[in-house]
Amino acid sequence: MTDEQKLIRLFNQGSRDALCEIYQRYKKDLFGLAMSLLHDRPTAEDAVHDVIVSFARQAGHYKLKGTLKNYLLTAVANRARDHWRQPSAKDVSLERLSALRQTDLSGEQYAILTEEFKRLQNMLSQIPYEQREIVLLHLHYDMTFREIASAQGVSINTVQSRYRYGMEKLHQLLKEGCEHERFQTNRRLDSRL
Amino acid sequence: MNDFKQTEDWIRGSKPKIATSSDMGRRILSDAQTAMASSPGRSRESGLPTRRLIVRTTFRFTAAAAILIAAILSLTLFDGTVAPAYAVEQTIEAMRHVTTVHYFATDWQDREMETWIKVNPETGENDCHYVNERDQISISTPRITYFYDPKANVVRVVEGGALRSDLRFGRFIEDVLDKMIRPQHGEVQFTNESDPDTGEEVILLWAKSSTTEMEVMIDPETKLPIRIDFSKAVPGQIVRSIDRIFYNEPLPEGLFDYAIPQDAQVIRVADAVNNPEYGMPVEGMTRDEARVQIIGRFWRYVIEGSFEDAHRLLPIVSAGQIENTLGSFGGVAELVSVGEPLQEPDTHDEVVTPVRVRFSNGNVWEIYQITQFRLIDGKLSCVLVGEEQGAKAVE
Repeated sequence: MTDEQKLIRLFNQGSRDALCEIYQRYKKDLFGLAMSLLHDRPTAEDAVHDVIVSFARQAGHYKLKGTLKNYLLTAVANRARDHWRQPSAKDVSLERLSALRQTDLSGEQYAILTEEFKRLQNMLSQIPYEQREIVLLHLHYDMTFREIASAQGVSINTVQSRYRYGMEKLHQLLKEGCEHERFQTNRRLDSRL
Repeated sequence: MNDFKQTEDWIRGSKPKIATSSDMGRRILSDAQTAMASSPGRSRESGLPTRRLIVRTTFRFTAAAAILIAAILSLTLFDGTVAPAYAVEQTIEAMRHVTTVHYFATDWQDREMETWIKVNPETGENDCHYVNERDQISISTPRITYFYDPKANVVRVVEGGALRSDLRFGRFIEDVLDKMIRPQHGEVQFTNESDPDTGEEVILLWAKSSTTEMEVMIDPETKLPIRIDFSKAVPGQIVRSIDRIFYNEPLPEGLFDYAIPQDAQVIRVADAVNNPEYGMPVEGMTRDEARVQIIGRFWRYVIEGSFEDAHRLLPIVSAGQIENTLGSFGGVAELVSVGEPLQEPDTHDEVVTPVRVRFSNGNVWEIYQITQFRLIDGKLSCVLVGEEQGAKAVE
C-alpha cells in the first residue's frame, strides 16, 4: 500500500490527523495554482477553502483515482474556471493583475512574487483562460495531458491543441520581451559612446 | 535546444514560492473538520464510525461509582488510527508533574483576575496562592493569608491558608470525579472537538452534577487542561472561566511574600470574629431566628447609611469598605428576602444564607451571606463573616 493510499484509508476512517496531513502536504500547490489562475488572494483562498471542505465531506466514501494531488489540483482549477466564467470576474481580475504589487501581500506572504512570476502572469493574461489552465497544470504541477483531459472532461487532442496554441503565444511574448531588453541594453551602450 | 523548449523551461522556473498563512490554514482546517464530522460516511474497511464523539455513552454515577471511576480512569480514546489518541491516565500523570500554575480567569461578573499557584507535587495541594483581581491582592500560604483592598487601604489577615480550591491542579481529574461528580451522581463525557478559537483539535471533558457543570479543554499533545469553563457552580466559587493556563513557569521572586502597607487598616479576622464587642447575642431565640435577625439588622443599617453599625455586625469588613462596595451599586433600597439556609443552623457553626436585596437602580441581587455562631465566655452569639462568591443579579 502506498503512502498516499494509507493516508486515504485513514481519512476515510475519519482521522482528523490524516485530513490535516493532506492539507499540509498539498496546500502550497493548491494555493499556488489558485493564485496563478485567479490573481487575487481572497478569491484564491476561498477556492482552496471550498476544495478542502468539499473533500472533507467525502470522508468515509472517497475513492482514490489517479493521485490525490491531481484530484485536488483539478478541483481548484474547476473552481477557478467557474469564477472566470462570471463576466465581472474577468475584468476585475485583470485589473487586479495589472495593479498587483509586492506590497499587496502583507504579513505572512502568500507568494514571493519574483520578477519572473509577475512577468509570467502578465503573459498568461494575454492567452485564453482554457490555455492558461493547461499550461500551468502541465508545467507547474506536472500533470500529463491525459490526466488533464480526464480532469477537464475533454479529449486529449483538445488539451494538446490548447497547450500548443498557448505556448506559441507565450513563446512569442517571451521572445519579444527578450528582444526589447536587448534593444534597451544596446541603446544604453550606444549612449555612452 | 528549440525555443519552445526554452519557453517551457522558463515557465517551469517561474513557479511562485508559496508560504501560506497560518490564519488561513486554521480557518480551512476548522471548517473541513466540521464538514468531516457531519459526513455520514463509514469506512467499509474497518467498520469504525467517523463520528466525532469517541465515547458512545455518558458515564452516569449511581451505585456502581467505583467501577465507573475505574473505567473512566482507564479510558482510552481512539480516532481511527492504530495508536490510541488519548488516555485519561495521561492527564492524570501529566498533572502529577505540575509544580506551578499561572492562569488568567474571569469571575461571574466578568471581572478578570490573574492567579499564580504553587503546587505541592507530593500531595497535589495548592500550597500557595496569589490572586490579583482588579488590584485587590490575595496572597495565601499554609501559614497565613492576606487580603488587601487598595481602595479602602484595608488588609484582612487570616491564620493559615484561607484560599483553597476543591479542584486542585495537581489532582485535577481525581477531584472532578471524587468531589464533584460521584457525590452527586453526576455525568462525565470525553469527546474529540475543535477549539472554536484556534481550530486546533482538543479533548473535551464535560462534567455535570446537580450543582456544577463544566467543560475542560485538554491539549492532546501535553495532555494538560488549557481552558476551563463553568456554566454552573456552587456558591463560593469565584472563577467562572479559566481562559489561559501556563504550567511550570518560574514563580516571580517574592510572589508570596507580603508586607502590610504601613498606613493600612489591619483586620485580623480571627480577632474580629471572636471579639464579643462584635456581632449579636443569641438569647431567647433559636439559631435560625438569630440568623434571620442579624442579617435583617445588617441590611437595615446599610439602607440607613449606618455603616459603622453594619461593620459591628460584619467586623471583617471596614465601614468604609461596606460603604464603598454597596455604594458602587447605587446604594441599597430594600431587603427583599432572607432565604432558607444552605446548612442546618442547629448543627453548623457556619451557615450560608441566600439574601436578596434591591439596589437603588432597581436591580435585585442574590448574595450568599455567612453567619458564624460562636461561644464566648459560655454565651452563644453570632456574627457575619462575609459572603460566599457567586452573587448574581436575579432581576
